[in-house]
Amino acid sequence: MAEDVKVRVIPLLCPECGRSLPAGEHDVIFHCADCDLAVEIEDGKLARRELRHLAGQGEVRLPFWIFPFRVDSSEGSVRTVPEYRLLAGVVATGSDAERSGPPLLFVPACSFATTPLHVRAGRLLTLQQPVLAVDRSKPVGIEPIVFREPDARIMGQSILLATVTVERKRNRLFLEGFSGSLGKGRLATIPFADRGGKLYHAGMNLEL
Amino acid sequence: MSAGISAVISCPQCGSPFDFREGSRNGLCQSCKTSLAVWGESGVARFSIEERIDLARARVEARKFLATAGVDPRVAEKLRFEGGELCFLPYWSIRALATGWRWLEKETLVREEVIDDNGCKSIVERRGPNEQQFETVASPIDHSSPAFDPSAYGLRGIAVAGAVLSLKLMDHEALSRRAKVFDPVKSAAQARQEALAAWKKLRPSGTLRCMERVDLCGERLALISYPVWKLTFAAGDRIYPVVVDAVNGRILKARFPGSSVIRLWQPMAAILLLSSAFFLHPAAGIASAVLFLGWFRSVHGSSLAALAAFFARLVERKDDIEHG
Repeated sequence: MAEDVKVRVIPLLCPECGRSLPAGEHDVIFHCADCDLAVEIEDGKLARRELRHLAGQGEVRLPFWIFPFRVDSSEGSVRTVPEYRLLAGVVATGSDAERSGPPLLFVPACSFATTPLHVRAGRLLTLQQPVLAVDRSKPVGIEPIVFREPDARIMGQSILLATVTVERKRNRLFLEGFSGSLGKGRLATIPFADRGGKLYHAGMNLEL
Repeated sequence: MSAGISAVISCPQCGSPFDFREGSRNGLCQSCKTSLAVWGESGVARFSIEERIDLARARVEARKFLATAGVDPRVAEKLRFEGGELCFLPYWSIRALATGWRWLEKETLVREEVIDDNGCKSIVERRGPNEQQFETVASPIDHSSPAFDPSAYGLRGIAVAGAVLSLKLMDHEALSRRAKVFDPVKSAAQARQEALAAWKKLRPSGTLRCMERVDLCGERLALISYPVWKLTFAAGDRIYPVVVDAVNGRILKARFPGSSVIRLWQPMAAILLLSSAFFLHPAAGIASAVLFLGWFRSVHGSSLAALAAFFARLVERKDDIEHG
């Protein structure tokens, strides 16, 4: 037999205050709103996970995995934001034009109503390459986190490719040589304003 | 995804039972309001489904099946019940999201309006230029597959979707005391590959070429042990196995003796023909015997044993009745 399959039931208690952490059926990372602490299960034990909150206006905080990335394809390597903008066929606007360093991939860690919406959210944020400041205040509530970092890495590949121009994606040779290398992922929440069921980020002028 | 089946587990904080749905990661203890995560080693939770029918009922179900499966009632009456064993068979249950991308080259059809010499219009379909298409894949998968060789048991998958069955956390020792518990021989990696392969088969029609990179994410993996009764019946010196679903009493796999027929016409006709021919003339008799042997050789072979059986074994049993 390949795997040992003993089952354990683990109480989800905050390691700081000892209170029971709210947990949905499919949540993988649990957030204590009082201590602003995130934990996940690693090897059958609760382990802390760094969670940052990015600044902005809005009452709905969506969790995202943010990965620095590099792309290799038949057209060459992409290592900077300007190179990525060329690959994606987008034009830089405002202050973001001067952004330096590796481009960032945004993968939603929460679930959306439909999977195309999930891909769309990651695609739009990645195309924006926003520069967001960290917010030190405690958030009121965070949307449930249902994707771990390894899952986000898998999903990240298709989100990354979704940002590339349509003409390139129809080219079989381009797709064969396409590979995205993702760096260490960071978990962060981004605030959005609820506008009658649609989520809006004023700083990025982005509607999900 | 399907509704899933619920399991009864004890809360480690207060000891109260709490409901846990297979396919979920977490549950809430209604007594002490503690959130609980169910975690299996290697990320795999193992459950078992309680049997709902006992050995006596399984035998009754097998007997009922005998009455409807075309088994000769005289043969059925002679069948002796030899024994029965409760078995727990392991099945992988995978719920995940197939994520990635797919490039397809598809053939297209072009409809053209054609006017013939008489001025009649008709629509003609022609093959158009091939179309290249790219799509992002994000598709839920709910897959169940046996973690053992199912050929001897006839149960290829368990209906997890929509079923309302009580699941228990697997207690291997306790279960082994009263039943034969099968361990999985198929690894989780193989089950994943099967789930992905099953999904990949669902390609759109008209696909000429396909290139894809799809992987599973958000995976919830469980091993569920399903109960079956393995019964044996004997007729003469032969043993016949019957596998009965221990949840709903359905016959999953069975083999029973076929009915017996008395075969008189062929040997009687041969004897009559040969004796009449010899009575008429010895040469006619020899010619008839040669013709008979030629026919016999082409149908039954040339062994003496087959010839003896042709004349001596007047009761012939038909092939066994197989089910599942």
